[in-house]
Amino acid sequence: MKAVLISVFFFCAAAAWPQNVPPGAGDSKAATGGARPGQMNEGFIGRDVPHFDPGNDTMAYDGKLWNINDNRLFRARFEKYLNAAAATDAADVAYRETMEKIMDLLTPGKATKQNQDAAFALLKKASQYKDDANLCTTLSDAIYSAQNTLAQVEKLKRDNALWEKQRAQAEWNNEVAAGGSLLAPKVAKDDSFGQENQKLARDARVATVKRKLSEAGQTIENNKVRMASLELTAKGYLQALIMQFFATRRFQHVIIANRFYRALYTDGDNSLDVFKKMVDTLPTKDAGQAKINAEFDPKVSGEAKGGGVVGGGTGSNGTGGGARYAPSGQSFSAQGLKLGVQNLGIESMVGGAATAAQAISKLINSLSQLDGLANEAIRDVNEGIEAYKFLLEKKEMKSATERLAETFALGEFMPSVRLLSREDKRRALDFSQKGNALLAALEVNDLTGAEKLVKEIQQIAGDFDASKPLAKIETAKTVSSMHLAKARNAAASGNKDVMESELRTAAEIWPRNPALAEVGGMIFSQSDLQQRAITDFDQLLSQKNFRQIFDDKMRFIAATAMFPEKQEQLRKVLDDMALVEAAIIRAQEVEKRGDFAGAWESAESASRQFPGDNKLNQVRADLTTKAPDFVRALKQAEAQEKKNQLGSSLAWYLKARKNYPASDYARQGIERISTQLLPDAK
Amino acid sequence: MARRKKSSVQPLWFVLAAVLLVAAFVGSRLFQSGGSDPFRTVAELDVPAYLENANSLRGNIYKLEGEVSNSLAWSPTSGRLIAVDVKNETLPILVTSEFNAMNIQKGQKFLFVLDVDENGTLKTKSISQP
Repeated sequence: MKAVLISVFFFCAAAAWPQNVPPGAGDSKAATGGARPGQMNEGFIGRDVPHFDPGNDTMAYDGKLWNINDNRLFRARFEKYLNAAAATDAADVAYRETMEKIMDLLTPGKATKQNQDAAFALLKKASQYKDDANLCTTLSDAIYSAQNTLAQVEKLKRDNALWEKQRAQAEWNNEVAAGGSLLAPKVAKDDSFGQENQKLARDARVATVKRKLSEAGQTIENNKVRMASLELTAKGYLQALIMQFFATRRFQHVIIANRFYRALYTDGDNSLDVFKKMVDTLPTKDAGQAKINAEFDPKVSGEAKGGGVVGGGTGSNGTGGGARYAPSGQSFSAQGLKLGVQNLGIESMVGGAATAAQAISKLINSLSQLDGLANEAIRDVNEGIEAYKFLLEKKEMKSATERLAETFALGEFMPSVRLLSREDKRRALDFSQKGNALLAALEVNDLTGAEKLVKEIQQIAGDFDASKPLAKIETAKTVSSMHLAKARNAAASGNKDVMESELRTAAEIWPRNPALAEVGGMIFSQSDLQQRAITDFDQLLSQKNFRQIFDDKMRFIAATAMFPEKQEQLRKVLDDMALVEAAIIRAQEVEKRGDFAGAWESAESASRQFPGDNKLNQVRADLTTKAPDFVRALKQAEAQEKKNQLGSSLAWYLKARKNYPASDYARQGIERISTQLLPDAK
Repeated sequence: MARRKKSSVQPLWFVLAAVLLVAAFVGSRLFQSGGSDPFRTVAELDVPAYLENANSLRGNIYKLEGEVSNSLAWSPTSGRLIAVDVKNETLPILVTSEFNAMNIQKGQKFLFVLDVDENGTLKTKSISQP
């Protein structure tokens, strides 16, 4: 029954705004879990009648699915209700009392003529309150019109009775006129002339009577047709109004109108055939249907790919616009908002309404059925409110909010719904807002915010199943961290493209990831440091400041890792510096033995190879002061040799060797000059 | 009683005789040495000057007495290159081939008459035992 009620409620919106696409509407898999789409099933009432599936809270109509709990228009209306104060002011109370009085007066068994008149009079009073939206005036007018029609029918009936009397009299007159007068002279049978005159006289007498007879019969028939037409029109109008009340969920009005209908038409005919015939003649889809595309799909995916799209569209008979953003990553994505209106126009709206009316006429066959549905709806709404209050006490806010949303969708105008206190409603609003915020946070991959919201919702709603959103959040966090790690590795190996790609993916999955800024900053800082190190390396290399390169070798090794050419240059520098360092160490070791000349010669040897090394030069300078005679002899020898003073140069070399017999430089100098002096020496 | 005058040699005569004797010895020694140095007119080589700047000595002939400390090289056509210790320095001397027949060994002392050539090399002109 509830499914039928909700189906009936949605027929109007689904037809007038036929394509309000729910989350996953374009994705039948999302709506049906991958099974054959429910809307493809013709069902026992066909696809033209809205069908509510309580299994997944979706409404099927015209091949499309609605999610009644996740509909932007419904949510907006629902939130407005949740923020409204309870309808407890004097006007509200008076209105409710008036409506209850009317219903009481029209209760079967009590609906006397006087009570009907009293109820009819109260309709004017009820329509004065804003909650009524002047519906009672409309009903009053319809009843008044129906009464006028009935009065007119009664008058026609009376007219027909008079006409029947006149026709009977005319028939008698005709019979008498056709029989002839007994006082008229007899005409002989062979007097043809006389016979002819007698016939003419009879026809003349009958002609007037026949005309009156025909006129009476025709008027009677015309009146009958007119009475039937009037009655059908009045019935159809009233039935349509009752159906409208039902469609707009004004169940009290349905019951009141139904009882007035029964009071007016006592023939026992409760069928809606008149309404059905009327709506069947209405144009439907000739002008095309208006479409509202409103998609708010919080769906998250574990394997989405691709980028984002922003777009808009224009319908053939209206305007449309939309925006769709689909951030993606290799493992997590969320689809956002899509809103648009297509083919919106008067014809399309009329066509939609006609379709809706035809649909509901197929669903409901009699006023008794409608009355039963309305009563059932009232009961269901009252029960829904009770259930909501009970669930509030139990702090089961998820179920409570869902029950309230369902109840509101069904009985928005019912007193029990209107009497709910703002404090009670605000709790559902709080849960609803947090839920929407959670969806929004997931949509933009604000995982930190989403996690916080999940915890908040858990605190206010004991029945909230946090496992699903938390699983999504944790998965996304993990995947984002993996991408960050890949980005870090790529940065370390100098793979810039991969690093950027991984960073982008990590950012798409979790844009507000605290580690993202940290790692990103670190990577960029590393890049900056690396670039600076490369510049320093080039500069030091051009200055032949190999010592500085050697002292900062770790920085340059890391910086040149991705530049093979520079890596080779660095390698050579470090190899040379290793030799220098070895020479220094060797010199220092020799010095420790007291062999200052030998230590100096070791330092000098390296210094000649790497003259720019300050440390080596310093060591050599220090050792020079410790072996001054040897050093002076050697330097003098070299100086004289350069001046081609071979004799004195050789003398100095000999002196150097005398100071330090193991001197390689002295030995080499002696050999070199000896060879020059005696080229053919053996 | 009056002291009796002794008839002995006066000590002054002994002193004079000793002085004369010493003078005669020194004179004979001086005469003997001056007479045995055949290059007493040749100047001694100024070793420090040579070490500092041989150019200033280029083309001159000097004599030098020293002890052979080492043989540096030998060529049958050009001669021998030896190192000679002079005072506290060691100087290289090119013993030209004309002295090839002469035995020159480490530790021997010689008096060299030397020519300083254009690149400062000390070339022997004469070698003799001191």
